[in-house]
Amino acid sequence: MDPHDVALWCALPFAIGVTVDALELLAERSQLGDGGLYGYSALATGRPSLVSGPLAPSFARVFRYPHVLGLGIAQLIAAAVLFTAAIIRSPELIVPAGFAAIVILGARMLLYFRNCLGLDGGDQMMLVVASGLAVALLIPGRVAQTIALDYIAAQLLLSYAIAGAAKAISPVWRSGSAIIGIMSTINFGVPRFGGFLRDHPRLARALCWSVIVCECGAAIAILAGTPGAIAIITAGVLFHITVALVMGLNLFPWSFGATYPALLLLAHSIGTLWR
Amino acid sequence: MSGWTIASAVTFSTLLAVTTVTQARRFRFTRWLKGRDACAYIPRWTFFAPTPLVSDIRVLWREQLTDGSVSPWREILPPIGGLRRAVWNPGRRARKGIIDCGPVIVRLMARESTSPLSPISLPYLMVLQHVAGLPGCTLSVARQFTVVATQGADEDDGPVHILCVSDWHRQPGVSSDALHRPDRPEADREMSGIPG
Repeated sequence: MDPHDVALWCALPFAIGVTVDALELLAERSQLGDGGLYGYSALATGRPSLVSGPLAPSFARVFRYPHVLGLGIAQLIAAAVLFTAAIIRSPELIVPAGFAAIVILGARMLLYFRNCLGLDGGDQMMLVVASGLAVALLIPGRVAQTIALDYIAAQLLLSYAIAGAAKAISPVWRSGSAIIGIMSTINFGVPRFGGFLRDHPRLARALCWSVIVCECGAAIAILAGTPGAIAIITAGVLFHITVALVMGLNLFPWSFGATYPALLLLAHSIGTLWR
Repeated sequence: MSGWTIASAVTFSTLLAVTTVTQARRFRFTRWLKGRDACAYIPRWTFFAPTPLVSDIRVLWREQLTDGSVSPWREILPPIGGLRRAVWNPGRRARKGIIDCGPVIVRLMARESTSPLSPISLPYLMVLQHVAGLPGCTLSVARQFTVVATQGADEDDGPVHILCVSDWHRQPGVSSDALHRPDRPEADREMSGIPG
């Protein structure tokens, strides 16, 4: 498996996710203005370096509305370059795609630095994928490129393992009441479904335990090589699409989906170890 | 083995090790490290665990007019359900901002309940700035917000738990003598007007 080829497969869902996220940022731009929740006048007070440091004027120039929208537009342009490289698969587009990943990484880190609140796991996985892609597409040497992609896969497995372990030690997850509570909210659930689960506590418990088992099992399943990776990807795709539909976390399918080609590469390497 | 390979291996294994170590929040070292992660580069992978949020954190606001009368409570960024948000969910980040800010404001206000001043913190200022900037009555002299928790759909008319009520804050350009400052208990009694 050629690392560049795998990186470009990762780039496809990643570029779509970045595009959706950047368009959402531009659509809700009023929140970034001074009357919005993420107005810079208030946000700057949270970081001394933004108020009085030597870089404060430079940060203010980039972070004040409407200049901050440039970070969204830069991501849109970079995502278009990545998407084109992933579709055309021409060797000449590898380096521009790598720089596009760097632009996305830089723009997102600046946005996270500015906004600091309101991030979710999908945003965090975007940084992981952008870092891995930038290195895999820009640095020479197959081994170094493979390590960068393995990093993406390892973070995916770590995310599932930690999420699973955190749920396994939690009494509310083990009892099934966690999913009833989450589903009963409007923000992350469907209250009618939450009510249905309250009436069917066994089903709620089974759902909680299936999430715990699948998340904890991913790190073990990968030891089976490619068949294990396919099982993780099948369960993961179903899980993240369901989460997007039910909980509205629409960045997860794209950011986690972008890691799956890297997981196949890692599984392939593990498979060769057994032979 | 090339220099690129060594650099790549060292960098990424360090990042993985740091990610693993920083997942447990109870250690001082991990809190110190996360405190310095200004760009949220080190991920936290616990996703709704061990204790998930099982209620909707919401912020309501009202305004005091020049004659001292007070408007009904209105909600900023009410939660929205539906299948469309699986594909297009532009309000996601702002609503998550409310979910992140609300509990911090509540905690700080509970801790500093004896102080006559509102606790100044970044989440408080974020919400206050937003409330002050919302379109309202031209006769508005001051605004106030409250953080509440609800569970279930709004049509179900479930209980509304009032978590905290802010002080009245003068609108920009309004002099301090224009503000009628109702006693705190009176302000709290008026909470019965909260939609829910």
